[in-house]
Amino acid sequence: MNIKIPKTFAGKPIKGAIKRVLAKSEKTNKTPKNENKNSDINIQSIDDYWQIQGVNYMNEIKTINLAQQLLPNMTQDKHAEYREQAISKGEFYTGDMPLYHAVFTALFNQKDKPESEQARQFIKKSMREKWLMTLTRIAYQPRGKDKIIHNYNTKDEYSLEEDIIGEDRFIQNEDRFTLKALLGTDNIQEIKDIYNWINGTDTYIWRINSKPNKVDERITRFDAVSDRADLDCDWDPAYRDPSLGVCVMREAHSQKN
Amino acid sequence: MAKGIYKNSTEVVNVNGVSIYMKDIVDACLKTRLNLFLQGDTGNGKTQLAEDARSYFGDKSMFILGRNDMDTRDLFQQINLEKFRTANSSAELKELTDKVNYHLIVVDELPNCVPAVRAQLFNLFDGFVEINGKAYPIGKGYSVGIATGNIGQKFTESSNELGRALKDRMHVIIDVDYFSPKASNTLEILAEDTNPRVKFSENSKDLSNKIIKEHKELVSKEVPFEKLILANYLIHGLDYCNKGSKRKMKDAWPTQLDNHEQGSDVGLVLPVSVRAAKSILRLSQALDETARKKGISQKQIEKNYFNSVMQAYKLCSAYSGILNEADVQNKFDNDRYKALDSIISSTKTQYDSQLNNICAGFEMAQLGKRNEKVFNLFTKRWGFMKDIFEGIIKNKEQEKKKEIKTNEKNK
Repeated sequence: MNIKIPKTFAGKPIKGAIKRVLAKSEKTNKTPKNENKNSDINIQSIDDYWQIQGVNYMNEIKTINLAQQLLPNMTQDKHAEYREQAISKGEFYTGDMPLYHAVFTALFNQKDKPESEQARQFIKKSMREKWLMTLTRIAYQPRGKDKIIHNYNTKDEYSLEEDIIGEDRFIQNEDRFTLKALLGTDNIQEIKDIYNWINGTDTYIWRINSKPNKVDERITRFDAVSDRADLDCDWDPAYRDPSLGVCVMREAHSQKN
Repeated sequence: MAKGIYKNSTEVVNVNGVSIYMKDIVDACLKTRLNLFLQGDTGNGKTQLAEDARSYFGDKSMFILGRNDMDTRDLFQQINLEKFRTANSSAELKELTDKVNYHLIVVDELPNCVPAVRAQLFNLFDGFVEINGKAYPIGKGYSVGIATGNIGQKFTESSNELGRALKDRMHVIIDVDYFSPKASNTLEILAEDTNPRVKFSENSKDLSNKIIKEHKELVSKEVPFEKLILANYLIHGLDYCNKGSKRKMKDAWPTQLDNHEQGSDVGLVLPVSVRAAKSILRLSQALDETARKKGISQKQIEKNYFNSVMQAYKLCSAYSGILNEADVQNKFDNDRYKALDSIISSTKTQYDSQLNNICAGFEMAQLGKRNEKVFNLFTKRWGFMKDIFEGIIKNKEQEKKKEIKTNEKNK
């Protein structure tokens, strides 16, 4: 059968497409030499995930794959177990709060790209429809600072101490130390801008409001409704939720401060 | 088409901003000659909807009430009952032949029939009737079937078996309960009268010729190239998994998929069959036509073929057996349409990100020159595109060879 190829496909001209695509692809494949935040970042959609380059996570520049489908509903403990197996197989797994925030930041920093917009829409939809589990757990302490455990129960686990307890509210400057411990940054305006870009709203933090009588462990999740994007820091570890699947591909180089 | 008695202003799908209602879907199925199964609980209007459709065809349609005690012979005798009383045996045969020319067969409560009767009814839906071992085509080139009933486990003891047969014969299966009429519709229905029976249209205008004409026009229209590629994605792209092919995995799908695939659309849906893809394309053409008649410009339709193909996919696939039932139950509250919306959403992301590459691939195919860099743009679920480009290039090469040979002969 003789197939007649039209001049346009889905409104895009076919003539000149090879040149355009290959030029873009060559640009993407070039390794950036300088370490400027914005020149390092890039995003491309590959099969069923986005590959985001130049993600600044724990002061290192990483390439992170973000799956276009959520990981299944599991408790945080199960997500942690799953992560250990997934890493060994090179599959998608659940990240901690700072990792997700770093991914959102990298997307925000290249928000004009169509792939970033697609990823944003996916994250927004997921946050609005589900509670997105993270591997950050908070052990609220009866005395002293609270304990924030990132990559909970995995070989990459690390912990910080900071005051998380406080009133539930839209984030403000007073929350900067709390947010630094949770998200890895105390740039309140940037945090607000990022979640405003994702959900079109301000950012709200939910947490334990007063000191518990004994250590009270809670899980953290991202979610959103029409009037706020939530940083949930007070949820029971027994809950089962899906998560954004991520996979750290490689370390490009360290971020020089 | 005629207004009908059934009332329902609940949107079934939206095509380029235009609401498509249940009646539009029935009309679309008639125009495309796609068999329609209206699935749902009793008393929600599915029989009325089917009867409205039957009334379009005047006396060139038949309404059959599915019964457990009905067998094939009885069915045809029932159809000829009046003639049997007055005619001799040859007239009896003639009457039977006349009915062979009917265009629409409506079977109410089809799951109530015993399997042997169902098999005969399915033959009618396939477009032929078997009499004394001989198959006669029905409808003079245009025949279509509408059936109603409930295929839920509690209503039929052999729902699985019936389900398979239905999926084979009924191109579009719609859950009428899911798109039940709005309160404003039921208020109108109740205010009109309190007769709970299905209203059979009397002296309705015979629209057979109009429908058949519209059908011919619609199916003779060339299917846009973009739609063909989208249909191929549904056949081949959705077949992809890390293990190679979901089809080849057979019963090992989805349990033996790689872990992360089980949480994605790879584990949620199987690819469509070629037959289903044909139904999807036809229905999408009809949905575009309906949208056009409701005021959308041709340009707007051409800009978004993706939309009509995916809406048709949703209508043809919800009950076609391609969804992972466990996932639909656990992740989508047993809502098949919600599960399909999620698949469509991820397909849209996939498609948009691949559009430029597809254009490059077609430019390469048009030029007839293989470009490894372009081929490499198509991996995993888009890998099927390589075969399409290769096929076009090979055709071009053969054409070129023929041309050279002809030129040589002419010299």
